[in-house]
Amino acid sequence: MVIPARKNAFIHNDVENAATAEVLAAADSETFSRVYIGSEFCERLLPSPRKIEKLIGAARDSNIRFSLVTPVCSDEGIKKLEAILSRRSVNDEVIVNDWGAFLLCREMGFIPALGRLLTACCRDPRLTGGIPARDDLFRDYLKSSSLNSGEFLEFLAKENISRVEIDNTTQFYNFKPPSSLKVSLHFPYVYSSTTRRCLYAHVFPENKPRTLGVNPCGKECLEGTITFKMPGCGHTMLVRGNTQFYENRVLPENRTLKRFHIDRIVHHDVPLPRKIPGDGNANG
Amino acid sequence: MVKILTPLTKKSEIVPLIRAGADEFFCGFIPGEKLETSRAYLYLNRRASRAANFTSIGELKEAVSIAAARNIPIFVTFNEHNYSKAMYDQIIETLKELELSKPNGVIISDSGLLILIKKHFPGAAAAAGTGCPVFNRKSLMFYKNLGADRVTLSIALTTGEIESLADEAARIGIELVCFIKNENCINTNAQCTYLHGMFDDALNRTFCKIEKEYGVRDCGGKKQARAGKRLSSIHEDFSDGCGACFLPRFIEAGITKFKIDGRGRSASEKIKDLLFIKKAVLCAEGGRSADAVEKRIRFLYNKIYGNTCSKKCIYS
Repeated sequence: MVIPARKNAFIHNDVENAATAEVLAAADSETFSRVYIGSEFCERLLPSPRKIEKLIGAARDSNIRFSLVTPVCSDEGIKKLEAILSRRSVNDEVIVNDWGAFLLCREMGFIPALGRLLTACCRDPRLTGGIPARDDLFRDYLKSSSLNSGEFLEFLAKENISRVEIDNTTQFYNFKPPSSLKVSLHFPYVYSSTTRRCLYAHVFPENKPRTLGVNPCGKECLEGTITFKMPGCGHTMLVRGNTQFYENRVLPENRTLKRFHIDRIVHHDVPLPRKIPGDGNANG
Repeated sequence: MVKILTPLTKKSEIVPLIRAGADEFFCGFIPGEKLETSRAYLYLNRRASRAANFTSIGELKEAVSIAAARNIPIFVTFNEHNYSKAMYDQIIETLKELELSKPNGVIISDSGLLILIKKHFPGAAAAAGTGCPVFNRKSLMFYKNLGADRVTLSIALTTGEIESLADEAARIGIELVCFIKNENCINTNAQCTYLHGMFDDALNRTFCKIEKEYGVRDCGGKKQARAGKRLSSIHEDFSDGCGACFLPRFIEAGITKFKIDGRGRSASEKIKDLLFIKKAVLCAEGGRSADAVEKRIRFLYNKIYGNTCSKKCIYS
C-alpha cells in the first residue's frame, strides 16, 4: 500500500495511529488516537517537565492517549529524565532509546517500551535498489534485527517488556515475534544514522567559526533544513536535528503487519523547522 | 599500567607489533571458504573486507597461541549490531574452535550476542564495543549486568563525560577502553545503521567516507549555498582521528586501556602508530605540565608521521 505524501486520511482500521506532537498539531486529530511527546534522538530537544505536563494535559483534554518518548542520554539527560518521570505515573507508557534510561525506568517502577534506537537493524537506503536475489543467507542478514536473537527476546520477556519499535525499512524484517510482544512501526521516515556532532551548528549561523565537536547547543537545528543525495541510490536524505532519515511511504500489507504483531503506526512529519515564540524547546 | 590495544590482521604481524609495544591485540575473522557461498559472512564484524580480517581459522588459532606464549591477549571482534541465525551459528562455531579464555576474549556490539556468549563461553572476556551505546553511568551498569568485563567508549563522548564514566567504572568494577588513534567517524557508531560495505562494487565503500552534496535551506525555505558548500567539505573539518594529547587527562582519570583502530592498515603503519602512542604515553606519564606534554606529543607526531599535526583532535 502506497501512502500519499500529504496528510493521511487512512488506513488500517485495526491499527492504532499515533503521531508525533508536530504531526498532531498540523493534522485532523480524529485520525490519531495517541500522541508521542518527547524526543528520540537528542536530550537537548527534550521538552522541560513543565512543557511535557502541559502537552499531556492537552492530549487528555482531547481524549488522546500519550507516550513519553525519551532520547539517548548523557548523565545530564538522565537527570532531566528523572525529573520528568518523577511527575508521571508508572502506568504511563514510556519509550526508551537508551539503556541507561531503561535502567532508570526500571528503578523507578516503569516498564518501558523499547524505542527504535535500541532495536538494531540495517537502515541503509541503498538497499532500496534490491538485495542480491540468489544469496539467501545475505538476504536473511539484511532483513535481520536485534529481534532475531532468541537471547534478546528472552531478556525482553524477563524484563516484562511488551512493546518494541521498528522502522519501515525498505527491505523489512524476518524476525518472529513471541505472542507477548507488540510492535510499533515508525512511518514514513526511517532513521539511518545519528551523531552528537551537530551539522547545523557547523553551518548556522554563517558567521560562527566552524566547530564539529560535542558543543554547547544553541538549538541551531531550528534554523534551517539540511538534505543530501545518497550516493548510489535515488534517495534524498533528510537531516533533522542530529539525525539522518530516508523516506519510505510504502507500507506493508495488513497481513504483514499482523505477522509482525504491528498494532501501531507512528506517523512523523519533517516540516520546515520553526522557532516557537517564547519557547526555546522544539516539540519533537 | 597503561596498555595499548592494537589491530592485528595477520599472524606474521604479531612479533613485529609486540616489539613495537603492542600490549593486547584485537582482530576480526571471516570464514574465507564460506564467502563463496554467501556474502553474509563478510558482515561478522564492521570491517566487511578480506584485507582487514583473518580468513583462516587455522591461522587465527596459531596467532592466539603465539600471542599467548608472550602473555599478550587477543580479542576477536564480532561487532556488527545484529545478526541472522546462520551468522550466530558461525560465531559460535568459530569460538568453539578458538577455545578462548581470559585474558583472551571477544568484542561485541549486539546485546543478544553478549548474552549468548556469556552463556556458552563464560571463561572468555567480553568487551562491549563502541556499537554499544554508553553515554551515561547507568549504561555502564547495564552492560556490566549483561556480563561485559570491559566497555569501549565512543569518541562522541566529551572528555568530561569520559572522566565521569571512568569514575563510575572504578566504582562498579568494569574496565574502560578509549580510542586514541585512527577513529574518526562523524556518526555515532552505536546508532549508525548504514551498511559498512555494499554488495554492489561501485558502492563498496563505507558510507561515511563518501563525498556528498548537501542542500541547506533556512527557516524561510531560502537556499543557503555557502552553508551547503561548507558541509560538503565536512570531512576536512573533522578530526584526523588522533586523541593523543588527551592521554594525560584520561590516565589521570584512571583509564589504562587505549585502542589504536585500523585493522585495514599495513603492518608498517601499525608500527608507526604504536611507536607514536607508546612515546606519547611515556610523555603523558612523565609528570610534566599539560602544556609541555601537548607540545611534546605534537612534536612526536610531526617527527614520526612526517607531517604537521592539524590540531583536529578526536575529543573535545
